[in-house]
Amino acid sequence: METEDPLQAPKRNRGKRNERRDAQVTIIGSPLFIDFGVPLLAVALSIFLKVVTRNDHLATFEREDLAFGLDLSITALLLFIVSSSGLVSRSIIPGAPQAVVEKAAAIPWILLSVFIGLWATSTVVRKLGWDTNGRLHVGWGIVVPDLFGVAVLLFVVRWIKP
Amino acid sequence: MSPLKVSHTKSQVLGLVASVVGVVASILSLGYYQFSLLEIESIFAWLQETSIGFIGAIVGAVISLFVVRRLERRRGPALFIAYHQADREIARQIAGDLRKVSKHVWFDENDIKVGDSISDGIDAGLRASSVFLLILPSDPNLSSGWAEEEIHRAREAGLPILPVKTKEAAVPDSMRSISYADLEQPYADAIRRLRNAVIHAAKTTEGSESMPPGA
Repeated sequence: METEDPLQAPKRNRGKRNERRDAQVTIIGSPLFIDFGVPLLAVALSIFLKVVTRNDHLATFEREDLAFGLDLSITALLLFIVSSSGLVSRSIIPGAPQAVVEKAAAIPWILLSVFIGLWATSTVVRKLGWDTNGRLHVGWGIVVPDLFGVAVLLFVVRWIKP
Repeated sequence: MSPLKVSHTKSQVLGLVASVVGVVASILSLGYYQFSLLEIESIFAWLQETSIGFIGAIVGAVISLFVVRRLERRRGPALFIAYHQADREIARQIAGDLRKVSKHVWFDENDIKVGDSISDGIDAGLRASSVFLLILPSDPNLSSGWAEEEIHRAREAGLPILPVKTKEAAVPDSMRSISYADLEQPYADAIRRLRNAVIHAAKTTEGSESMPPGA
């Protein structure tokens, strides 16, 4: 029976660690994770956190917990601002690629559209989104802001994507 | 209708139209920037990526709801439902709706099998429960004696009582100082209130049980 060389064991463990790390990088860097996994995680965590941080007196799940759209759009906006600051610093270097300069030039307009969207969505929710019992209306109060929030998130995810 | 009211309504409508246009314009402009700056091959590729993103968001919402529901059930109290035979239908409906927040709903027709002792079954149900839901009889003639007996039973077992008033029910004297869920309200609102009350009552009971004697 062959005995294992004790010097080989750490090498094999290191190899397994590297394989695991490569697999993690492959999953996180894959387009499917960015396009599908990021919105999935963002929405799932938003709803989950809303429910688990509720007042104990109102402990059960309510349809208001599905109204994550505006939170998501603010998070996406902050992500966009942080990622754009790096882009701007790259665009002012002499000889910067034309695509980077064009992207940087569009940043103020994109910010403006997101701000208009936030104002408009919050106005729609305020004016149309509540029923007479003081609960959120499913269409105007939940679906519309959620659509806006997911749309902004998808835009920012693609903006950051290499 | 006064002219002032008309102009107010008009401005409201204009504001709303502007808001809806703002939402649509914002989403469209983001789409435009995606096309012009982010090297998207074709509208089909864009639609494909966008729909994958929206499907991801929907799957996320479904997973989150599933997990939350499971947690609510696991953390929820065991509930004992007392009702008069004449109100079996509404009691069944309430039991079904409260299962979402209770790990077990004791309901006689499910928990007492044919041939079992009824009084032993009720005693076991009371011992295993932490909240007592009393559906007050819809027939006021039946109300007082039967309900007082059930209230006594719950108090002996040391369970918090949550009364539910059906449409015609009379509230017994011993329950007059206690707030009840009123099924004369829209049913969904009454159930929502009841679910919150069930969880809150269970938490209060747990809290008082864990307090040291004399506290």
